[in-house]
Amino acid sequence: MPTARTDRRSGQLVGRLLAAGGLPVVFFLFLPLVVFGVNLNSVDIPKSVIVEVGLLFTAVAFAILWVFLSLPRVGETLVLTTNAVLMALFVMVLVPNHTGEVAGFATDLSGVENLIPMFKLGGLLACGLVWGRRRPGQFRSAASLGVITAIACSATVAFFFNSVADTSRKTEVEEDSRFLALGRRAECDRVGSGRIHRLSNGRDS
Amino acid sequence: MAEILDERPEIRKRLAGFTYYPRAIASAQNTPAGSSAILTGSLETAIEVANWNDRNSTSLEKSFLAQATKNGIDVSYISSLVAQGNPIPSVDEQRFFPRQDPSMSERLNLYVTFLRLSASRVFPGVVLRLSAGLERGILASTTDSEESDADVFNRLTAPGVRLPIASKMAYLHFLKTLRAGDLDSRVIFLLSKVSHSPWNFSEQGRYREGAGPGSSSHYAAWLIVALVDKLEDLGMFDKTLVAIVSDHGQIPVNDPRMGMGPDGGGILPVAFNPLVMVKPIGAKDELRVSDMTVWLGDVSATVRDAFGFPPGDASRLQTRSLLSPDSPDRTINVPLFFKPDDADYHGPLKEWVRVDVSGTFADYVKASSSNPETMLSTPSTITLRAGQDAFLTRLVAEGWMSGKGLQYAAWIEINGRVIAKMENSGVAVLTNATGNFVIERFRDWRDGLAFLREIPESASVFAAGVRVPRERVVQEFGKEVLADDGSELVNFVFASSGRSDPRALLEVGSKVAEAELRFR
Repeated sequence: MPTARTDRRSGQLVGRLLAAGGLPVVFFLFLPLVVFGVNLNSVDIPKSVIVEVGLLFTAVAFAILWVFLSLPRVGETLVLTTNAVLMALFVMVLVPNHTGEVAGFATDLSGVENLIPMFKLGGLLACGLVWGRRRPGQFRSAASLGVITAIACSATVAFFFNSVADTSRKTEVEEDSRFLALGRRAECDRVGSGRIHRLSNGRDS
Repeated sequence: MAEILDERPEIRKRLAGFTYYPRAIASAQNTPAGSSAILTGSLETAIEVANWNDRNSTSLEKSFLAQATKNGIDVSYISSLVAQGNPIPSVDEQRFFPRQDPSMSERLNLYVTFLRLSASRVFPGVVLRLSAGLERGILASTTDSEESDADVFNRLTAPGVRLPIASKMAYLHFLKTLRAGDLDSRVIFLLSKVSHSPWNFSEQGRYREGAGPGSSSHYAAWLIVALVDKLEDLGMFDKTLVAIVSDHGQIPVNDPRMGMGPDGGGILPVAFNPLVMVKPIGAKDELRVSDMTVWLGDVSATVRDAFGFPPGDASRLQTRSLLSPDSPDRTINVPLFFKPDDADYHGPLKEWVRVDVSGTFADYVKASSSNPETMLSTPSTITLRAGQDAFLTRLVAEGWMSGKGLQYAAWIEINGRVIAKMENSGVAVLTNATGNFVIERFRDWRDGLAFLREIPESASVFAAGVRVPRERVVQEFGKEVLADDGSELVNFVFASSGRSDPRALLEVGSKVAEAELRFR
């Protein structure tokens, strides 16, 4: 029969898993894939690069975080802090700073501000820490929900969203059909003398 | 180049030994095609081979580089044009060019760069600045002269912007590592994109956004001087054949000093004309300007002549070694190719509009004319089109052109050649209201509609308008012709051949309006 001690242990394990896995997922996959998804017309980076390298970084970060979060005494505090960072990042991805369009032209970032983003990030972190201290179970549930949402959003972008650049990297045949889809080409079946002949779309005024 | 040589006598002086051929012909504004012509002396591969990489590979297999390899001569191929199957082994400089299929380290670099961009949604600027590599990277001023080429390359993600920087790094590395022993028996082919758009170099070679074609071309000229200096330092200048050749340049149009812009509309300065310059072994006299008509394929014949190789495919198109004495009345017989608006800039020439020409430079100027009066002097097909521009949208998305999101355009084409194009907004008009056919372009649709109203009924007029408010089109041409799909901005094509033909609003559409007409 499960005892209170084993319950607590399994709870801690889940908490560590959530924090160690959730933060890298949000930062290395959710963040770039959301930016990719909302800039489909402008991004040049292949989606496969974000997914493959993002997964790699997530795995490495998970391993490192897992070691730190398993440390005795400080582990629980680190889990709380990690969850607070995770939540702050999650919210910031959904309610981002004003940076202008990320169109692959890095100079757009020269307009990144300091003061308001600092308050936003600091405020969210502080809220997360207070919430986590006062209502640990509730905060962990919220963090779990955030991670699940992040994974679902990332998977949706990864599987169903294609940038214009990604589409154009496909075969030449597909490219041709896109151009044909541009519009109708009116047919012309004889050459006139000094007159215009257009015979197929019949909308002359 | 003529302009640069006039403006900078110091550059002219340091190019002693060279012969400059201002009457040079490129068959198409197409880099792989130009590279193929230079390497093989033929257009066969550029015309026929559809796949980009295969085209480069086939060109290399038929090139003087392959002949040199077979004859035991050391060969280097340095170019952003990737060849399938490595027909010529790569050299160190090749690593500067990003590949279409990036390596793991390139993928990591791409990802990290994009993650940094994405992180700006989350972190304040000060945090980003603290991040390693960002201090002189993403957030640095573009005028920071301390920024290295590698830093600039890494902070930029658009391939069209990165390629000239990669070319600069490859070229400087090549110059730095060139040794006298390398040149005893070696052929080096280096295709640089330093002078390619978007022209972000100052004359000193520093990265400057919007620096312009003038300063970037001057920098390219200084890089040629740097090669000459290096060869002199090594004591190899007299023993080396040097050919400087543009992979296309603009085909001469109307005025032999001028070239035509890629959209068929803008006229570009003489700096954009094709360039051929050759310094034979032992030549050291003051730079000479030749009147002879030449074409890019002559460079292949010249290198083959220097090594005593047979001409290969080149003989079919009457290539000529530029080491032989000039023939001022020489004629050439190579076709010209014009890019249809929806074809790829780097596609096979069989997909382009072909115009067969033979003769001197003057004949090519005439044949490549975009003067509508000349073009409409024979029975012609006029195509009017306005609407979404999938090709331009892709170029923007891939970073080859600046802009954001879906792109629109209005086109007027004669016989498949674009003679006017308005991007995203405006009205293009072809009319003979003043006697001869001319093109008028209006960036502001109000001016375009007003101009159309003023054209007399007796004149011929062909017009295409893009992103014009629906209500103004209704007001101007009548509501009954409009499809009612609720779009506020519409595109239209409009034509009349003159007195005997009623004016006709041919088509209106929120996505595209298009009509093809015969005119004589």
